[in-house]
Amino acid sequence: MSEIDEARAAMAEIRATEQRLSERMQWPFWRHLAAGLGIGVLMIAATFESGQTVIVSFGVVLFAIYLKNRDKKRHGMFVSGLTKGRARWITFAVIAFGVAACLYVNLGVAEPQREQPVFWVLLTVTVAATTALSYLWQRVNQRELQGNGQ
Amino acid sequence: MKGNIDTVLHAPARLQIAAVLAHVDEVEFATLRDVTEVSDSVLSKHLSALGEAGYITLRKAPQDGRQRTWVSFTTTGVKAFKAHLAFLQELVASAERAVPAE
Repeated sequence: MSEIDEARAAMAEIRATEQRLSERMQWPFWRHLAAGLGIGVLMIAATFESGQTVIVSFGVVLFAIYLKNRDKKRHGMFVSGLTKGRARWITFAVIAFGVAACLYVNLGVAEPQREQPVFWVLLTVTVAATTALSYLWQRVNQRELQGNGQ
Repeated sequence: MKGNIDTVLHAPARLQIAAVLAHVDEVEFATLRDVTEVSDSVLSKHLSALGEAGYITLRKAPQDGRQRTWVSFTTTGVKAFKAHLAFLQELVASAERAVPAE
């Protein structure tokens, strides 16, 4: 077999592996919703007194660690979303969305925050958007892994 | 043509392992075995070779009363795989460019 044939065979092997991996890289919808709710809870926590904010935020971090361990146990892998590929930009968008939402609340733009309907509208939009982005990440990542195989 | 064949990654099974590791932060031995479709012993042998080259990290952790092995790419491994992939792609592309000229 020539060097070029070997290279072609190697590329085909990589593509086949990526396609098999794509079939495993899917999580139930509640897992995406959990990510969105986590950011929503952080947004609510930002309206509390600083001591309470720290406690609730710590709880969200513990919940994130629980999800990570659960993913590893159930799926045999952990994917932070920051590995290679176009889907990484969606992860950055989720983080940016979360940070922007918490900053918005923290800066007191919507004082008195929880008493204003706009706060709850924004909270709903934030949870829905981050959940949708998390799901979109999965779709883009899968398409990329499968698309490489075409 | 830039680059060269990475002899550590050249074996098909190692390329498959690298292809998985490029998309995950960490993967468990059994999952990696299923995706790459190789036997336990073959996977162990290739993981040892990749580990010796400093391309991967192997971590043992207890789970459900058993020791599980977790595998992840090192920075060196990521760079080596990228370079090797680029070399393969260039090789195939150059062959395809050469076909009409023949």
